[in-house]
Amino acid sequence: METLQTYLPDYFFLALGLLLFLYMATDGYNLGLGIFSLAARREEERGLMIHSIASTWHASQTWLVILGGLLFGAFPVVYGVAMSALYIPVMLMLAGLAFRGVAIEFYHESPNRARWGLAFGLGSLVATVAQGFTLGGLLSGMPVVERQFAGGYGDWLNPFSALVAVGGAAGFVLLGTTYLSMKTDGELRDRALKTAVMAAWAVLAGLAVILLWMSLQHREGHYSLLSLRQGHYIYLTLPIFLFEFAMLLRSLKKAEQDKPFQWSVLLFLTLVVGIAAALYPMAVPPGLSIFDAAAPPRSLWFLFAVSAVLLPVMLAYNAWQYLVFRGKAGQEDKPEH
Amino acid sequence: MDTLFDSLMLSRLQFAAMAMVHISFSVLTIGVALFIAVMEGLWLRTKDPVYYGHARFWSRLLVLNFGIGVVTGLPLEFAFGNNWAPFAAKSAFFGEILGTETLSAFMLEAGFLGIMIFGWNRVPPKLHFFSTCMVVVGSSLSVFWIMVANSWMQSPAGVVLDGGRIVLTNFREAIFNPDMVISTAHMYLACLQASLFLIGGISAWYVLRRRHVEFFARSFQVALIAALVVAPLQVWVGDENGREVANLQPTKLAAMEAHWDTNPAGQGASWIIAAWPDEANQRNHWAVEVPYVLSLLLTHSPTGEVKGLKDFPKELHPPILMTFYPFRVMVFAGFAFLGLALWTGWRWKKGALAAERLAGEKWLLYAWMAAGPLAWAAVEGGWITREVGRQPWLVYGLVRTSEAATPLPAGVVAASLAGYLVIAGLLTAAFVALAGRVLAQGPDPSTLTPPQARPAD
Ligand code: HDD
Ligand code: HEM
Ligand code: HEM
Repeated sequence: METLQTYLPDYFFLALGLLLFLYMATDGYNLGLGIFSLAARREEERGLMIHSIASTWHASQTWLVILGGLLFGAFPVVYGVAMSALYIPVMLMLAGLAFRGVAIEFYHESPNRARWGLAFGLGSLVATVAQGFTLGGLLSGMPVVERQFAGGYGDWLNPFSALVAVGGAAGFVLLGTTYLSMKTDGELRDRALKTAVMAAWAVLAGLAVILLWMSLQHREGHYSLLSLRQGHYIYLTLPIFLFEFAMLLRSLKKAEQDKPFQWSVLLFLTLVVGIAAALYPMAVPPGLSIFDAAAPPRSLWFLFAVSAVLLPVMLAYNAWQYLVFRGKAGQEDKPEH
Repeated sequence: MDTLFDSLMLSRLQFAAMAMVHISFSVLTIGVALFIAVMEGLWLRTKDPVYYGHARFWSRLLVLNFGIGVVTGLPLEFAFGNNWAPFAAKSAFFGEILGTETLSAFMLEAGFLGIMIFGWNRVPPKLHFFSTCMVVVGSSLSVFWIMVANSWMQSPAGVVLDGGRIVLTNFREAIFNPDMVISTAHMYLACLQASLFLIGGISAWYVLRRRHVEFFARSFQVALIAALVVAPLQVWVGDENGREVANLQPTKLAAMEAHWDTNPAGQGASWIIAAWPDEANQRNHWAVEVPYVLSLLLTHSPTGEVKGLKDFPKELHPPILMTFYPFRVMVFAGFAFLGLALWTGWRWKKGALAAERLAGEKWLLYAWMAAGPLAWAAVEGGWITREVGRQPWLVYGLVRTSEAATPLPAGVVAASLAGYLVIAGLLTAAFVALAGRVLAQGPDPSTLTPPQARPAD
């Protein structure tokens, strides 16, 4: 038990990484679709997009709720430090998510669909950009003194986090458009695939600039992810990333059915693995490690038991839900009013 | 210090606003989902299509309500890190319970809601009913866990204070803290009451306007049967809850009752119906009192001792007006519901609730229409009593609210509070408009009969 106990923080580091990936992959396509919907040409198109995610957006968002809950439970200090340091982008994200979620539920009941369609698109855009700044702000490092954030409340706004926000938005658009290409046919699908190609290149460019920026910072002696003990591990995932990128482009060119979305999801998985490998064992870079930030052992054991049992069950019924709603988003399962 | 105080005050206001908005919707999710599950179950059993029609009709309203409930819950969860970071970092138990809630309750609800709403033609009826039940289980579990977290703040147990950190020593004691069972029961009944009086009130409105009378007479009757059980139970549980407060938080109880002086031995404490408490001079300007009743209520003896606020140092007094009057709103509502349930039950016995006669019971129907908003006021009143009455403590006896807030610049919190109020106001207004539209349209004929052919899955 004693030796097992020392690994509990590692377990939660892994579990949180998994949750981050699940959230990015699932809500990423919802949010990306929302951004893409801003470029819809007719209201019916936007209706179809909203319809294609109406049954699953909520479960997707709940991965974020769980990510927050598990972070709070396992690493309460990180929760306090990160959420207070990132107060402004988190509030903006919540505002964006509020409009996005309510718009999806209200769209079909409203006499004024265009307005809710716009709320859906803009809400998704705001939430996505704010999430980019949140993640970027966390990775840009935070001073911590006596378990409290000791920096400025505007620190999250910096060139690095802006790059992450732009790259992340491109990534979500990639997920959204490849998802849409699974769910629709015809002209809309063609357009989605075209946008996906552009988004994919934007992701690659964004990543290249971010890596360049980090190595410059590193060389000048400033903090960046690379200056962490395992910072250079991020390069290990690069070959995998590039391979997946090539496969993605190939499947986009062939306009394959499900493959483009699957490759995009794998790209995100690789990214999360890369970041996690570079970060470990830091929870809040540069100085707060998962071992310093973890809740007391008794608390961790409880949450370990709960999450180890429930995470697989959750994955199973979510998979079932996707199975029930598989196939093209057509008219047949529209709410009947 | 001044700016910190401002920012603290703003954080408190913001949290209160977020909680009060969220609770308005989430109590309805819980009760209405349960009502829908009951209707769907009755349909599967009796094959009477009217029950199927009800399940579909109320689901449409549930979706609108759910949308807001979810997006207003999210800021609450993050608030503990955003605005209460020192508290979050200090007490591991609290975060763990919220983590457990997200793992066990929220995903269950979210994972099955899609099928409940959109899956009518995609899965067989029994599987659909199962999904509806999972939504009910998920939302009910979320009441349980959130009440565990909150009741632990009211009566912390199973922990020790160790170098400024709250460390868990006994898990079972912390979860089953002294306040937990009674307040969870009271809260769950409140969810049921808020929902069933809203459903009954909407049904009464249709009947009064003679639209779909037969259809809504049915939901009215179901709501009545539930009210006959829940309303008396709630008065009893509420009374027990009050006695528990007297035990655990005597300052809160004294504030709830504007009770300044401990009654001397041999004399009963009187119960105050209405008063104007004066916090500075520690007395009531005027009061309408009933002798002996407070002692009777709390100790079941006419002269039992009830501690007055003056027995405690002034800095431990909670704000009195904000505890006294909201409490009275709730208690008034509790007895009003009991009266309404009995009155309606009596009319039922007289045969007045049959679909042909119901529309004639004008006053009864008006009373039901008023009951929905009153139930909402009771829920808010109860929470304000509970949370304001706990002041100045955040975790009773352990952590003060003033030492738990993130030292954010006041301007930042003011901006987020203003933004929250604007957005919540906009979304609530849109909700009211759209729900009103759904009500004006009434049940959609295409959802009143179950589909004949279902996929042979
Ligand atoms: C429909 C709603 C409703 C109704 C009719 C009542 N209550 Fe209530 N009450 C609540 C809804 C509520 C609540 C909002 O759900 C609270 C807040 C937290 C909780 O557990 O329940 C609450 C709290 C609450 C508290 C504070 C507990 C604390 O601070 O720890 C007391 C003493 C009572 N109630 C007592 C009563 C009595 C004596 C009632 C009837 C005669 C009554 N309530 C009816
Ligand atoms: C949803 C129903 C709830 C309502 C309507 C509500 C209402 C309020 C109000 C009015 C305050 C302000 C008290 C004051 O500052 O004088 C408050 C504070 C607070 N409540 Fe609640 N509350 C609710 C549920 C909860 C729950 C379930 C928790 C914990 C899990 C909680 C935790 C807090 C915290 C942390 C504060 C801030 C500190 C404070 O001012 O006490 N509340 N709430
Ligand atoms: C006693 C008071 C509360 C009750 C009864 C309650 C109940 C519920 C219910 C039933 C839901 C899901 C359905 C809906 O939102 O309409 C929900 C959602 C949510 N609640 Fe509350 N809640 C309460 C207070 C709180 C507090 C204080 C927090 C903050 C920790 C919170 C956090 C959340 C979150 C994050 C969600 C969204 C979950 C999702 O995405 O599915 N709730 N709540």
